[in-house]
Formats: sequence, C-alpha cells, structure tokens
Amino acid sequence: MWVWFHKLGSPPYAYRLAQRLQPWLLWSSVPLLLLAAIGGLWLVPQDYQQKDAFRIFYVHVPIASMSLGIYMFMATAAAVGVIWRMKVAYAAAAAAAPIGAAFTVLALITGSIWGRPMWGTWWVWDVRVTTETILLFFYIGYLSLARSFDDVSRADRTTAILAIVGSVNVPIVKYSVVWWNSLHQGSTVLKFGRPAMDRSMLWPFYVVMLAILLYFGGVLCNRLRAEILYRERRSQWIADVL
Amino acid sequence: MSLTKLFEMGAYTAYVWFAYAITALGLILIAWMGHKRFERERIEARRRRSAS
Repeated sequence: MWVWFHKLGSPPYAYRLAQRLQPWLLWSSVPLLLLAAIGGLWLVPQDYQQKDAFRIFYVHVPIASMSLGIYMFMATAAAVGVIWRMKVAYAAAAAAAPIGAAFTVLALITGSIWGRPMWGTWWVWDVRVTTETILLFFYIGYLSLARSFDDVSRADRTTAILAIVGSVNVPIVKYSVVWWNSLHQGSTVLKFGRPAMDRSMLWPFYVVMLAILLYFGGVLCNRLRAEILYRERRSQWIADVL
Repeated sequence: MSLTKLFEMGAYTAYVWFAYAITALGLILIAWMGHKRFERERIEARRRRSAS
C-alpha cells in the first residue's frame, strides 16, 4: 500500500496510470448513466406526494453529493500535498477544482428546477441552498487564487490552505437540514439507518451514483494528465509520452 | 413502457426533462472542456519540445 502510494507520487507513473484508467472509467459510466436515466424517467413508480417531479431526485442528489465529495477529495489531496510535499497531490487537487465547481453549478441549477414545482419559486435563501452557494464561492476562490500566481509551487501552497479551510463548510452543507429549520427536505438515502425511500425507487439512485463516480474518475484522469503536462513541461520524461 | 406514457407523465414533465437535459449537457461540457485543456497542454508541450 505504502509502496503504491509513493509510486503514485511520481509524475510519470501518475500520468501513465491516468492515461490507462481514463477510457475505462469514462466509457463504463456511459451505459450506467443511460440505465439510470431510463430507470429514473420510466421504470420507477411515481411519488405519491411529489408526483413525477420527484424524478429530478436521480440527477440532483447524486450531483449535489458529488459536489461535496469532490471538495473533500480536493481538500484531502491538498493536505497530502502539504504534509508529504507530493507534487502529484497538488496537481490532483487543481484538476478536481473545475470539475467540482461545475458539479456545484449543476446541483444549484437542478435544485432550482426542482424547487419551482415543489416550492413555487426558482430560488430561496434557504440554509441548504445558501451553504451550497458558499461551496461554489470556495471553488471559485480556489480557481481564482490558483490563477493569480505565476509560480506554481507558491500557488499550490496557498490554494491548499484555502481548500483545507473550506472543507469546514462541507459538513455544514450536509447537516444544514438537520441543524436548522429548512425548506429543503432532509436526507433521503445518505443518512444513518434505513433510507427513507422504497426499495423499488432506490436502484436507479445507486446506479447513477456509481456512474457519476466512474465519470468523475474519468474526467479527473484527463484533467490530471493536463495538469502534469503543464507542471512537468520542462522534464525530460515528457518527450516519451508525447 | 411506451412513448405515450412518457408524455402523459403530467404537469411536472417539463421540469423533469429540463433537469435531465441540463445535467446531460453539463456532463458532456465538463468532459469536453477537460479534453480541450489536455489537448492544449499536449500541443504546447510538443511545441516546446520541437523548439528546444
């Protein structure tokens, strides 16, 4: 395990690993996404309260969960970079940031579309919506800060602090619906105890979660390769992989 | 499940389709932008190689 971890710290090894994994991860997510979409749109029964609008659950919840998960991945990678001085960890954090920001935007948009028929409004300054918007500002702050430095290593150290500090917001987003009175519904699946959903409605959610994880792995590999190419552009080994 | 059933899903259908379409478009865009970034870096690295 530790040997592999240390090998992963080598940019040529990480680049080649990402190159090998990327098509498998990305393409395996496509049929799963299609299956989950068919399941969510056609196969699961209608909800007795929300009717067909509840089908937005299968896109909104996985995307929103991933927006939090990607931030934790980014903060962990940044912490690994700070502790072990691992260049690839910094590159992984930088590669994950734009994907996480895009997921957060998608979570806010799909949430807004779900809010219109359920709450009667596109937007409300509800605690969950507000903390998710703050998460987007953390992503934007990370990306802006990374671009404000000419020196990559200085940018890495500074953005790592922001990523680690910002991770405090993640449990606040997750538990905001428990800690405060909220218009947003409570956790349905990702909670302690049994999911508050019937089993016949759950399977597309698990399929889409797996698909989104694979998709994230695939796009992360692509962005990580781009980051490594940018950071290692003066290294000799680059000539072998081009 | 027929197409007719799909269009009979009720008043909320438009919102559901809108959310699914936006998500699909977003996922395609994320993958495409990642690919473009990689291609840009690869071309730049090649240019540097040939220049040196």
